[in-house]
Amino acid sequence: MTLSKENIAVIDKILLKKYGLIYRDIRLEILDHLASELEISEGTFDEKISEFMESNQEFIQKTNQLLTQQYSKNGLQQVTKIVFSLPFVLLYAIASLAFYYLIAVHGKDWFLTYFDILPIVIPAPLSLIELYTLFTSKRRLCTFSLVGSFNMIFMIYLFLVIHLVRKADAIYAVAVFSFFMTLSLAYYYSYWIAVKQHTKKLI
Amino acid sequence: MKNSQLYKGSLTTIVMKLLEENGRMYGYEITQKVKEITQGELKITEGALYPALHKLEADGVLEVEVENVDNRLRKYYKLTEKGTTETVNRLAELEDFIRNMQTLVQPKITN
Repeated sequence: MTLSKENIAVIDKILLKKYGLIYRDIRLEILDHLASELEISEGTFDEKISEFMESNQEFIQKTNQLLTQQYSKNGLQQVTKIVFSLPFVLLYAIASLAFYYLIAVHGKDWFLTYFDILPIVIPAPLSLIELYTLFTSKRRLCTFSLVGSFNMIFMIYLFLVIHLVRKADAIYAVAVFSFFMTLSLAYYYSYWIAVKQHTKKLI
Repeated sequence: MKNSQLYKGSLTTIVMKLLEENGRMYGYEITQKVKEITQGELKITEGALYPALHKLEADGVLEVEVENVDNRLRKYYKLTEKGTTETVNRLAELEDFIRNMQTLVQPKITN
């Protein structure tokens, strides 16, 4: 049987509503697999669809679960890769020198008054945008896993590391603070790369 | 994949070999090709195939092209330059493995 645009839309809707495949990048692949299999079977779409989806329930759920787990792991791997990259190390060195200079000139109290929360403030707009996409049909697991991994680290800063920065000697505070500042800038770059790659694939 | 631990470690090598021979393939096509070559003896479990493909993509072994085919988007996988080299290494490794296994299981035939 040949599947029409309407038939594909029906399968897509079942995957989203019934099986909870909320991420577009995962759904499109599973949808193509199911559609390819359905196309080689006999009968009409309306006769077949319920039974067919039921028989593939395990495959749909298992693939969705495994891919979601894998993407979460990939997100953390991407962050690790970025942290050990040369541009990150260079940017970190520049940030450390700049903040060390600022503290030497203005004092640590001045620095803490204006800057200590910056590693949380800088990534916030992008995190909010990604959060917004979760409520739209544009949600993608490839960017969500990356954003999730970065935000987990920023939360560690907010709830734990920020207190160390406030209490530590200036030199240690600068080293730790600069790392998170660099990470918050790298966050935007990584997101841009992830979106670019995803878009390139869809062209 | 056929219900055996023996095949599980070879899934990525099988996928890479198929892509080396066929250029680019999509998920369903890979499962059907394996079924066809092995005359239904070996059946890749679809639940294992897609995570393996995504892992290879994340490792830079495969790259993806998405095209609009028959009213839907289809992801085609193909080997990268790194993937082509990796395939040669993996196949050599697999051949060694098979040879060693044969020596262990049927020492008289191979000697």
